[in-house]
Amino acid sequence: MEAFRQEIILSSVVIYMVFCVGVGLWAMRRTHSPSDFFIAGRSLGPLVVALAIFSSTLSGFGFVGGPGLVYSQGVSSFWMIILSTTGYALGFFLVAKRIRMIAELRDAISLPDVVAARYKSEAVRFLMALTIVLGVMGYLATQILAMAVVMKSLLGGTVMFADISLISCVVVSSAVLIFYCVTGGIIASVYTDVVQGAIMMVAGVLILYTATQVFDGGFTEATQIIMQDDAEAVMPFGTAGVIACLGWAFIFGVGVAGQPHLVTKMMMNRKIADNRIVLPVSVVGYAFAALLWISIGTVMRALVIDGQAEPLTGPDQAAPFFLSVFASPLLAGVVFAGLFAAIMSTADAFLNVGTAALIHDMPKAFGATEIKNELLKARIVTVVLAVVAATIALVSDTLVALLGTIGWATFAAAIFPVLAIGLNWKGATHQGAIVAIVSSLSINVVFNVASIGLPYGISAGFVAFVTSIVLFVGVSFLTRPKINNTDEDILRAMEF
Amino acid sequence: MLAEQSNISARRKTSESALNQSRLCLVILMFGLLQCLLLALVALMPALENASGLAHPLFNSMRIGGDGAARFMPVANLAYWFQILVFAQICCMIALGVRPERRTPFFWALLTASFGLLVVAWTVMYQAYESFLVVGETVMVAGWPNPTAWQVYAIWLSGFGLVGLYVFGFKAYVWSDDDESKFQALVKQYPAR
Repeated sequence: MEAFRQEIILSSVVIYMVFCVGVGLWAMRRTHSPSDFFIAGRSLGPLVVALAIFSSTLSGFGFVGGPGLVYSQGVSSFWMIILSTTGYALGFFLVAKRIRMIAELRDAISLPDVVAARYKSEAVRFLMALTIVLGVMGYLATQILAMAVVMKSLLGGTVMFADISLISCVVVSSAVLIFYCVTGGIIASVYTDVVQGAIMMVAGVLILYTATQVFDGGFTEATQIIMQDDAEAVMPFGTAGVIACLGWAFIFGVGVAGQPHLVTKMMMNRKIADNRIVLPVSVVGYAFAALLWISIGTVMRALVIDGQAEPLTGPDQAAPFFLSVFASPLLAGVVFAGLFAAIMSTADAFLNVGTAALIHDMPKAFGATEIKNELLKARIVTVVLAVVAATIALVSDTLVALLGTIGWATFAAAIFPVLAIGLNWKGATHQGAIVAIVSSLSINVVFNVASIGLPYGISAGFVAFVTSIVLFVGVSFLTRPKINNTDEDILRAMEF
Repeated sequence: MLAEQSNISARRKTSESALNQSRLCLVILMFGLLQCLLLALVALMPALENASGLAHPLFNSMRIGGDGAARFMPVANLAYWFQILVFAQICCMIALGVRPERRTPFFWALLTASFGLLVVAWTVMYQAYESFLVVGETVMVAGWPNPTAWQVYAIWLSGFGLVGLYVFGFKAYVWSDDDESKFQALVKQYPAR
């Protein structure tokens, strides 16, 4: 089997991509309206929603960047994972029920639709849509680039495709993504997510087992090797230090409920009562998949320090190197398919929320009451958005980096207070929402563009998130009108 | 007459409920302001060379933490209380997501217990780490040094208290069968626009 390692890995990836195309064709027959295209007609079962939620959370970053961070910084990045259980619970208590109620009451198909209904403000809708579009471009560009890089490294190992260019890889991987997103919309996206989620869970568990077998003394030996080199690397705050870790914990834990591609999926389930099943399945699925993040990074750091492996050229090589040396060909095939799955499940979710923001929310924010041929426009804009993101990924590192700053932390800071607190507190005002969104965008962009560094690893995203919650609640208290102008149906939905 | 009285009582309930939510938001705001203050105090501290790590002397793409005590002790108390505030803020937000009439003493007891779990896991991990920095030794527990084992197993798993509260208290605190029928009536009353 070892002799056919490359072939087995490639076959796994090809089978997975053919599957995605097949799901796209199947879902096309179920997509008849914009509501089907964007929120699956609110018809999904609990297992589908649960797997779609967690697999969208753990993108290619979780499979490549995560192990790379552990290799590079030790235990620090565990803080991005371990508060997820608490964060998911918070998100379900605050958002899951109310967003689904408003979606049904107003036939809302996007997050900006929901906040526009809540605050009765087109300005809030516009700012939310703008944040989503900017963030989506950055995320999509990096996800497409990651897909292409992995594909190039896979194909580069074969005789036939040894000289394949990065552009060709971008074209092939984007084509598959675009095909199933355009034909099947969110229905194709979530059903591929189900398989993607299942692959990620299996991969996480199998890789953990493989990682424990690398050293005779198991994980204990690996951590002891790291400890002898630098004890801090395996202590709770790793090499990055306590404050940086608390920042990550806050952004990735509390901020879960501010991620547009996740909370939009909370609008898609058939029944609100299903949330009782969705939450535990999502949390457990995420935990299994995250085992890969923890185990590969730790073992690779120990292997290099112990001299059993050559130092890596970059942290992101940790996962590919581990898979190519220590995983059986079949497992490597499953994990590489899982890697594409993780990247695609995040990319398709972003493609969907970005398209909704562009063709549905932006026009509505500027006064359009009815959008004609919305389904056709959605399909066209999906292609355009993916092509633009792929182009950005190929031509401008600077633009990718700049848009990349509007990522998870900005979404958390801009969206969490407006959505999670705002849907549960009638006293929240549109002025509070506007200030929270504008401040979080400004802080993130200014700090990153001007390269403003704060001591102890305090990040711009951390400052933006803590500040936006304070500003949202504070400004809402200061601008509270005597009579609440929110529509009666929304106010009543907020009383459940 | 009866209808008017029931209307007045419903309005009073609604305004009491809104007041209740505002009080919780005030607490969330206070916690947020305290978090800002703690972060500002950290930001004003003199920066240490290894505060957020150093390049590894041998391996290019690796970093090391260096002298743990030197960089941890100056901010140890601020960081500890920051995270306690975060847990408290999370629990207040969870209470905000539950209808005020449903926040029974039993609900508060369960929420406090979940908060307690998070705080205990965090505190024990913190003390184990401080003890390691003083003594320079620790035991290995299930593959990790003792403080990290508390982080990986206890803090991660302690979040399941809140997941359990959601799952097992779903009908009592989140969405009852009665809610479903009332919501369907609301949907009928306000056809989607």
